[in-house]
Amino acid sequence: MTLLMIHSISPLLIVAFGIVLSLLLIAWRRSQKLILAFTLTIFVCAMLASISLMMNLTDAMQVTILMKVDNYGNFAFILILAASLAVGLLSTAWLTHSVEVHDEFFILLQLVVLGAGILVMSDHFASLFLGFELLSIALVGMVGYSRDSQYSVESSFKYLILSATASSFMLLGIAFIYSQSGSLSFATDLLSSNEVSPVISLFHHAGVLLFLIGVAFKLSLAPFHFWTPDVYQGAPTSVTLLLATVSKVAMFVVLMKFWFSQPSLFIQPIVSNGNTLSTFNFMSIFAILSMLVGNTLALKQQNIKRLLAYSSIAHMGYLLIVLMVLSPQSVVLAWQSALFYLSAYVLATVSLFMVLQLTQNNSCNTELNVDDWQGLFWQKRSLAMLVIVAVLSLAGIPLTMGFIGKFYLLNVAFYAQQWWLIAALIIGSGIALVYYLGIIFALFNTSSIDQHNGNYRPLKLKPLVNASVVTLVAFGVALGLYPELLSQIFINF
Amino acid sequence: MSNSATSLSQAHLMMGLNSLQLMFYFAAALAIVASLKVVTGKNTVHSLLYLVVSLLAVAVCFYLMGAPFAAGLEVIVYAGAILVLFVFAIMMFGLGQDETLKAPQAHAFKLSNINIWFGPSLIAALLLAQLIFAIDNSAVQEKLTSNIIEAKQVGILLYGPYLLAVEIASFLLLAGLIAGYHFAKPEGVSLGHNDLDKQKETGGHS
Repeated sequence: MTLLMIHSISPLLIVAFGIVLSLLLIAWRRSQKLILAFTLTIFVCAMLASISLMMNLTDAMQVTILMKVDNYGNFAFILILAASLAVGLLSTAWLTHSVEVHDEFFILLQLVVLGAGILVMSDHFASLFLGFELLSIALVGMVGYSRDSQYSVESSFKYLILSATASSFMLLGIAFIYSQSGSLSFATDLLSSNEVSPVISLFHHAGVLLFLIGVAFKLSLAPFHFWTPDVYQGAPTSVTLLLATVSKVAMFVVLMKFWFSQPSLFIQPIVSNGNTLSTFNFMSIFAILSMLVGNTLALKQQNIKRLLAYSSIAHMGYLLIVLMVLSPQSVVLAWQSALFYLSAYVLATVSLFMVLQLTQNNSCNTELNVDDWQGLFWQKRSLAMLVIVAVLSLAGIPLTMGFIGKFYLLNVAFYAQQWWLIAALIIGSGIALVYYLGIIFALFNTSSIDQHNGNYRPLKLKPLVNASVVTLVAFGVALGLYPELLSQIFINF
Repeated sequence: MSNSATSLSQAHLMMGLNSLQLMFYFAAALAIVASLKVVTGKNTVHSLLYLVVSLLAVAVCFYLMGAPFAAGLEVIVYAGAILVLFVFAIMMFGLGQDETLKAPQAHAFKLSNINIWFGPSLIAALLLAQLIFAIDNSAVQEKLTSNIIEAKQVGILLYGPYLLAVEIASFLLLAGLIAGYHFAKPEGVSLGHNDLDKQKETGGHS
């Protein structure tokens, strides 16, 4: 470990050091405000370190054999930190309802961020697996955090069992890959690459497939999505936000790192021409299934969290398109598309969950339906604007970030000539419009305002909260109008 | 003459390798059977008995792969320390109604009574026989001791290229500890009520 290596993983070190310091802080004084302020400070420091690193880093930097710091990973980590800042801020509104001092929540939050950071930097199956487990175990603790709520045990148990299943699938896959390549690093070819016997390539294929199944569990891709709505619904709102953003971004970025560092990636389609076991085909099937299943199941959902769960399945399906590259030249474009789409997705999700949390506090109801947002536009303009911008961006309407993101994805798909995927993307977006526009119509609906007046207290936001709502709206609109602001950053990578 | 000698030794080596592989698969099968009995058993203590045997079988697998250090760790850490913790925890929580219903009658000397300890002890005896055979058989020993992975090599790797992995693993344990603490702590008594009010005040000012 040289000083340069330590410098290049400094954001991770800051978060890790922050965890130890917060444990000491708890020993000194148990106060929720103090630990909240400390957690947010740690995140901001790590973010500043990442930004300065992103500006100075010109080339990918290998840190021991376990990690590889590059600007894609750095940007993903900044995204993760931004989402976690939002989670920390939102959780205060919810945690004040209970009597206890919630120190553990913030430590678990920092541990989740550390796990996600390790994932996006990893270049080795050992660090991938450890980061994956760190993310899962800390998230299990957070999903069931409010122990007095109805679904907390059920949802955390579901999450625990399914992520354990996913990691055992993944371990078996890694073992198969190791048995054929003899190394745990991502970028290793088969031992006997010049004479690929069918049995060896079969084992390697099976290993890669099992590994991808483990990842697909976490990304809740279509055949493995059954846990998603229940866990989303049962978890506290801020934790659901964490699941929807941090966990997905980290898993997707590590999937891309694994996928693009496979040396056999670009030879594969030619070698296994007509071979149905090709991982390419499997990924396309996962993607198409996710787009169609996620969007169709979201149609009839009234519960907002369940609706967002199904829509996140569809969005992960769209994102899988970037894996379908045929030549090394388009890898850069794939990275740019993925990072842009992920930023749009994270911004929209954070906005929607912010409104969800704020209206939830107001109505003292933990199960918000789309109907509960009826007439929100006439009650609180800024919140309604936030919802509109976010929903339009998720739906991919022009002049929003989501549209530019989808444009990037279409671009990648055209280069790779994946017509089926393009068709599925368009059909899926069409179906999605139905439920996305349903939310927007509900916002303007005036019919039920009079009935609701009895149990609806008027929404009052603190000036600081209001300011952050307006900032998010401004971000959404500005990045939708001027996407170069973001895409210019990627070009320099 | 020399030709026949080398072919003889080669045949010997082949036989050693084969018997080694056979033994490995046998131990692995025992581990699978024991693990299945763990999850299908109705009585927690009986399941734990099978769990011990399953971990011992995995240790034998490690030994037969030429990693006696990992085998020793498996026995000491899992079959030793963690299983003792399990037994302690189960005994401390007290056996529930369903446990005592499934438990055998103390005074009945029936065949079903033998069944309970017969399975785990049979598997353990098979493992012991296999281990004795492996230690006794010189061909197998020769094969096993040719490339031993020592504790020193493991240590060098852990504190060299895998240093960060060790650190991450420690954070993983911390996450499990904190999540477990949160689920296990009793409802709403993390602080006394007077303390809590004071905390809220001081928390508000800081």
